[in-house]
Amino acid sequence: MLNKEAFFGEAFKRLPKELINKIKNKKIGIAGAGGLGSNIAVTLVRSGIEDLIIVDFDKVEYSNLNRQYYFYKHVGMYKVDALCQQLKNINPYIEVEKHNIYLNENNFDIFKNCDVIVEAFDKAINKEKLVNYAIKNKKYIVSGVGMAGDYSANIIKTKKFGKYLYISGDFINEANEDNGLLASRVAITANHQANIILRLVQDKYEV
Amino acid sequence: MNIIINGENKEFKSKITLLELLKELDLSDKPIVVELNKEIIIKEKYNKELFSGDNLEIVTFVGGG
Repeated sequence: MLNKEAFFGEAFKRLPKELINKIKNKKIGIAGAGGLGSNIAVTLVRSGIEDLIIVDFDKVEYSNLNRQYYFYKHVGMYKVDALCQQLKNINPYIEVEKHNIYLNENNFDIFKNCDVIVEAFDKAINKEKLVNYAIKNKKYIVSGVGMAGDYSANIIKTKKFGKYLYISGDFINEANEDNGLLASRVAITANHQANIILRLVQDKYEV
Repeated sequence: MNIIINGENKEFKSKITLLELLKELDLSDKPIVVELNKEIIIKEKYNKELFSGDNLEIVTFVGGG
């Protein structure tokens, strides 16, 4: 196994140089380790992010394998444990603070030391609550809104609202019985979110 | 009075607060976030009066993730 310095030199030599310099000591908090959260975490770790807080209450189910970054062997595991395993299989030297709890207004302060908060919940009401928390506490927050169905990938975009809020998605398509979730559109939305996060940690605020 | 809502011009006959407008659009009980002239308005300030030319962006959160 490569030591940390040798690994970083090899693994991240194709990353943009400016990113490598600015990304150090940046802490990202991910609320939800489902389709959005698991894919976002993987992209962030591949991009050199070393310090993450991941929060989810749920276990991996077979019905998650169509879009979430888990494998058959993870079914039955807590998502935070399974995701941590996935991430350490990419970069064994990352720091992950994992919380196996249900997030609500009483424990959002878990994220108080994060540079960016990632809203990766499933339920609309929880999305709203975390976005409100972040705005009131002047924290950058990147939310995912509208990714269900098999509609065009080209309607998924990232928009900025006020100073602290960025939203990725098509803004319309809700997941329900008639509108299922596809790995393609979920991962596109997740990576839209990851992309603006990777810009924010470099003090690039335009989408 | 003309207010731009999600890029579309809407005419209002009389003065209106943000909360009244959200009620009229049937959005007051929905999970939303509101941006007024490029600033987010938190729920506690929905009593704010709107003025002609105001530019509103209203995002309704939808489930999926």
